[in-house]
Amino acid sequence: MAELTYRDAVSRGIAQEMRRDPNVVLIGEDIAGAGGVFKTTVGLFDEFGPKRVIDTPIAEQAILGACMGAAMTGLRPVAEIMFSDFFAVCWDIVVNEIAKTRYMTNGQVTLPLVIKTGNGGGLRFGAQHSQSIENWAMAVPGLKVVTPSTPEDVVGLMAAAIRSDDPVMFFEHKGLYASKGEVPDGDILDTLGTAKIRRAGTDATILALGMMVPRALAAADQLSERGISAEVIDVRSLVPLDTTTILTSLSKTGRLFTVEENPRLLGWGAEIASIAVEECFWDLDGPIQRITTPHIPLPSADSLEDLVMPSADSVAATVEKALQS
Amino acid sequence: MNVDVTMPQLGETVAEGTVTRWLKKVGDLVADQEPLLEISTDKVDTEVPSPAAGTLLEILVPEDTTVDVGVRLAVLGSADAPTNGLPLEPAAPEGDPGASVPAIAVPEPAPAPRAHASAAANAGGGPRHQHSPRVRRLADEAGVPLTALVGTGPSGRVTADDVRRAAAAPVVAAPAAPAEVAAPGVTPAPAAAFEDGDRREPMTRLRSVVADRMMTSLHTSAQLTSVVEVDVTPVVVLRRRVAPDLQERLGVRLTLTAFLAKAAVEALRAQPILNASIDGDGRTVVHHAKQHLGIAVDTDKGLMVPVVKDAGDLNLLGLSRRIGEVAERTRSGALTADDLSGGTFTLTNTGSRGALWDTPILVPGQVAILGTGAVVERPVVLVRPDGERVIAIRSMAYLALTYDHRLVDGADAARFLTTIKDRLEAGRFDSELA
Repeated sequence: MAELTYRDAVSRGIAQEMRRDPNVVLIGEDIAGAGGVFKTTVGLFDEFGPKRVIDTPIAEQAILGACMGAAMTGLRPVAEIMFSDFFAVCWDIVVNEIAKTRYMTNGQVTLPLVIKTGNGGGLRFGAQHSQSIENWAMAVPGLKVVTPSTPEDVVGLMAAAIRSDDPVMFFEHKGLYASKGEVPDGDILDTLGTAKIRRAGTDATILALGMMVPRALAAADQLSERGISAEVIDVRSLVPLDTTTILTSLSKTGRLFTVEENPRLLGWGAEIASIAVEECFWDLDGPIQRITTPHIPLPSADSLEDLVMPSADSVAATVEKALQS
Repeated sequence: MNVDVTMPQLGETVAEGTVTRWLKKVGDLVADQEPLLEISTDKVDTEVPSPAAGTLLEILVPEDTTVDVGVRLAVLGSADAPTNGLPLEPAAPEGDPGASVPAIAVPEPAPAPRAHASAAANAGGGPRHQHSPRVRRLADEAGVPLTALVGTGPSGRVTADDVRRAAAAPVVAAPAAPAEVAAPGVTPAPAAAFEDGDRREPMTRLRSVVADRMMTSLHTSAQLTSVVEVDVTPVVVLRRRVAPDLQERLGVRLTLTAFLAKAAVEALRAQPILNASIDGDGRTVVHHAKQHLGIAVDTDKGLMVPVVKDAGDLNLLGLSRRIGEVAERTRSGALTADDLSGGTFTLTNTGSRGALWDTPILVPGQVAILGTGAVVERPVVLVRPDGERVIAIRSMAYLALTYDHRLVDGADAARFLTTIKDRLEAGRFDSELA
C-alpha cells in the first residue's frame, strides 16, 4: 500500500497494462519525453520507448484517427486529448466513427481504445479549458464514460478501460491531479459500470462525480453535524450506469440529490433523476434536487469560478433546506 | 386561503373524538372562535371553536362519527378569500327546520387509490403535495389511512416515520380492538335469548370507554387484592370535632376520603413502588416522582376518575378542597380531558353505598388502586394500657388494595396497607389542621 497522487495513478494504471499487454500503446501531445502537460504519463516513455509512447503534433483529429486505425488493426491504444474542451474539434471521428464502428460492421470490428482527457474546472483556466463535458460523451450511443475520483479508482478503472473491447472515454479531473490517496500494491483491476458508496447514510442520497465527490463528502460531514445522515455515492461511470446501487440507496433514503459540475441543462443528474422518477417514484419522499453549475460558460475570475461551481457549503445548504421544507 | 378544522387534541392521552353535533351548516358564515361543532372525547364533551373567520365550505365528518385526533373535520374558506373553483355545497333550503342537518361529504374510509388520492387532495382545496409518494406507498402497505395521521414533518407534513409509528401503534378503540381484547381461549358466554319486552341499545360512549378500559386492565396486568381492617374511630372523632368549624370558617368540607387520601399519598412516598407504571413493553418501569391521585366519582352518567394533580404536595385541608372541587366539576360535567388523565394512583370509595369491601380494578397504566369500604360500628377487642382486654364499639372500615403483581409483591402491598392503617389509627392530624 502506497500513497499516490491522482496524476501518478494515471501513469501507474497505464504502465500496469502496458507491461501486461504489448499491444497497449499511448499516443498524444507532449506525453512522451515531457511526461504530459499534467504529468500523467511520467516515466512511460523511458520504460516503453518511442514505439509504444508516441508524441503527436497539435492535431486532435489526427490523434484520434490514428488511435481508431490502431484499434482496428489489433492494438489497444490509449489516446490523450489534453483538455476535454478540445473534443469539440474532434467529435466527428469520436461520434460518427469510433462510437459507431461496432454497430455499423455488425460486430465484425470492435475498437478496444481509451481516450483519456483532463476534464473539469476550478483551476482558473477560463471558459475554454475548464469544461465538464462528460455529459456530451454520455449522449452518444456506443461510448463508455468513466470519471474516477480517487487514485485507487484511477488505476483500477484505467485497467478496466484498457481491457474493454469497446471505446471508453476516460475523464480525469484536472482539479484532482494533485490529490493523494492510498493505492494497494500489485495489479488493480476495477469493474466498469459500478458506482461506489463513499459514505453510508439514511436521510438523503447524494450522487457526485469527479471533483464533486470530495465536495459532497465534505458536505455530508457538515450535514452530519446538523443531524442529517447523508449517503454519498461516487457514480464513477455514467455509461454503463450503476442504477442498482443508486436506486437501492434512493429507496432507502427517499431523497435524491445530484452534485454536477457541468452546466445545468442536460447534465447527467437530469438523466438519473428521470430514471429515478420512472423506477422509484413510490420511494421518493420529496423532490429530487440537482445541484449544478448554472448554465453559463465558466468564468475566469477566481471568485466567480468559486461562486458558480457547487461547493461543500452550497451542497450542504441545499440538502438541509430541502429536508426541512 | 382555506383553513382546515381538525379534531383537536383535548388531553395528552386522548386519541380520538366523536362529532356529536354540527352547530353550523355548509355555506354559513362563521366568526373566529365561534363554536362550530360539538365533540365527545373520552369522557368529555366540548365545543370546538372555529379556528378562523370565514365560510364553512365543506363538512368532512358527519355527526356520530368517531375519528382520530388531527383528522380534518371541515374546511373553512377565509372571509377574504375568493371561493371560486371550490365545491361550495348549496345551503339547505331556508325555513325548513329539518334542514339543520348540514350537507355532508362522506370522508374516504380507506386509503384511496394512488392516482385518485392526489386528485382528491387537490380538489379538496387542501395543501398540495401533502404526502410524498413514499409516504403514500408506506401508508398503503401498512393499511394506515393517511387522513388519520398527524404530520410531524416540516409544515405539518406526514413523514414516513409518522406512518411507521401509526402502523406500529396499538389500535386505539378502533373497530378491531374488542377482538384483540378477547383473551385467548375465552369464548364469550352466550347471551340470554332476546325476548318480547327486551330492549337492545348501543352503549353510551362513556359506557363503552369504561368497558374497554376494564377489559384492557384485566387482560394486561396481574391483579391481586389485599385487605386490611382499620379502626378509623380516631379519624371519625377528629372529623366530627373539627369539620363544622372548618366548614364555617374556610368553607372546606372535611371528608373521611380526605383523611384516606392524605394517608395514601404519605404511604406512596414511603412505598414508591406503588406509584409507578409499567411501559407497554412489559419490561420497563416508570417511577413517578409526583403523586397524582385519581379519585373515583360516581355520577349519574357513570363512574369517572378525575385526577388531583400533585396530591403529594397538599396537606389535609388542601386535599379536601381539591377533592371537593374535582368532584363538583365531575358531577356538573365541567371536567376537561386533562382532569381525567395523568393519575399515578387511584382511590375509590367502595363504601359510599354500604359495601364492606370489593376488589377494585386497576386504572390501566397504574399499578395500584385503594378501595375503602363502608365505615361501620363493630364490637372490637381492644388492649388497654394496663394490658387488660376489653370489647369496645369502634368505627371500622376495610381497605382493599388491588395491585399489579407483575411489579408489586404481597409484602409491599401489606407494608403499604399497614402504613395507612397505622397513620389512620394514630389519628394525629393536628398539624394538618393548624
